[in-house]
Amino acid sequence: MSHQEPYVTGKNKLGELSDEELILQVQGGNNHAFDILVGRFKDRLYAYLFRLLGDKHEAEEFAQETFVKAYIHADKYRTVARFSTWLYTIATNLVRNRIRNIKRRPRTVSLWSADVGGAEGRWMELPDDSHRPDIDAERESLRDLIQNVIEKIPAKYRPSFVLREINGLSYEEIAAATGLKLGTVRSRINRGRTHFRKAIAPFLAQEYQRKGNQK
Amino acid sequence: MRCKKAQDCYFKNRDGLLNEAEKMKLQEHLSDCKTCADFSIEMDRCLGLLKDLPDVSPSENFEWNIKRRILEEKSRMIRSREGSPFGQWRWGVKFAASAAAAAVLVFTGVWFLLGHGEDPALRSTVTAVHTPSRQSRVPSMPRNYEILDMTGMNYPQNMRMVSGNLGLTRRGSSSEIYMPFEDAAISRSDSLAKINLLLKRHIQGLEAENRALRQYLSQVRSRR
Repeated sequence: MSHQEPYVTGKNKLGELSDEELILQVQGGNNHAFDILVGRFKDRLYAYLFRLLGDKHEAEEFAQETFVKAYIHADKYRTVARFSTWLYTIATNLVRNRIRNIKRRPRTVSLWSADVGGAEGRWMELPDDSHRPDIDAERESLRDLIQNVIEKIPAKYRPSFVLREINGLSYEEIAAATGLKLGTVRSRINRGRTHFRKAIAPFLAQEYQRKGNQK
Repeated sequence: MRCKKAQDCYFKNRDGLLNEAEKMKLQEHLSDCKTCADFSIEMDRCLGLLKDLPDVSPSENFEWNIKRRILEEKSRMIRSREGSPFGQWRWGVKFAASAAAAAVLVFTGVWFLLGHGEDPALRSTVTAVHTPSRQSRVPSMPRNYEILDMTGMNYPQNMRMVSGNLGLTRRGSSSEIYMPFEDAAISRSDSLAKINLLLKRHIQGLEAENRALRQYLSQVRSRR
């Protein structure tokens, strides 16, 4: 074990430690430190994987796998990188092949149809949700739509885009997590943003038009 | 500032990477260029939707599942490090199967080399090999075999020439095969060995002829 940290006991004391200090505790065999790390990162990691994969079960499966790998290979962690970056690196490597091969599942809202409008495809008319009195249902529909649009971002750009726009990582952290150069990360994030805008803008325009008509 | 650069600056500004002077330039461009202004408004609006996404959480037993999987992984690692009896047994089976396969291969090879592997029906019919020039030396041929007279070109109708000096024939319904070489019952592999020997001799003869011709040529050249 490479750690030289004193073994800290007590959940309160452990809770005061930084992520990097906690993983050093894990290196020293302190399992409580790992529990705290899981508690701190499970939601963020799960959100990242869910946005990437679009499937709750798969996201949970991969999140668990990420934590297991982080625990088993804790001794390989070096303090040069932040723990969060290291964790995202493990997760990104795990799902890299999965998101390339991901198949589109039928969703409640489908925006794009290649069958209509020839090879270029065409934006489909979305069903009018104005008959729904329940605002929550409308929001849910919007969330489904956003998730669907995120999944339509090419797999190449999606991890960088999600890490930046949803998880709020810096360019440097994303570069470390994805193993890409800084310039490539910036380019991929911007391309992901452009794809997202192109996919969602027609729906937004329609929404604004509908709301304008209602007023 | 051109539109392409303005859009690039918009993204940088969104990530907080522009200094004050660059921000001013971008604002100037956006106030003059409607396309870029629309682009920035639309992009803000679209990306703003992502901020409204709800927080998602894994299931309640998430942490317990991690602990379970860690324990399973640890057990698996210990098993693979120390080697389980089952693992050793599996390797033993693999070794035994490989050894058996190798033994079968060797046995089959030896079987065929010794000539036991050929068709029994065919082997029973290979009864005599006869060289016409030595016809007089084979008075003791079995009664039911007919001696083949090759010198008189009196080949049977079903005679099949294998090489320049070797012939096979089937006679009547007994389907006997005669080979005009030796007056001894041999197997097919023996006859192939004979063919090889003949070919070897033929090649040796050609080589000797070649050597003689070379010598003759060198002598002619030296004379000139």
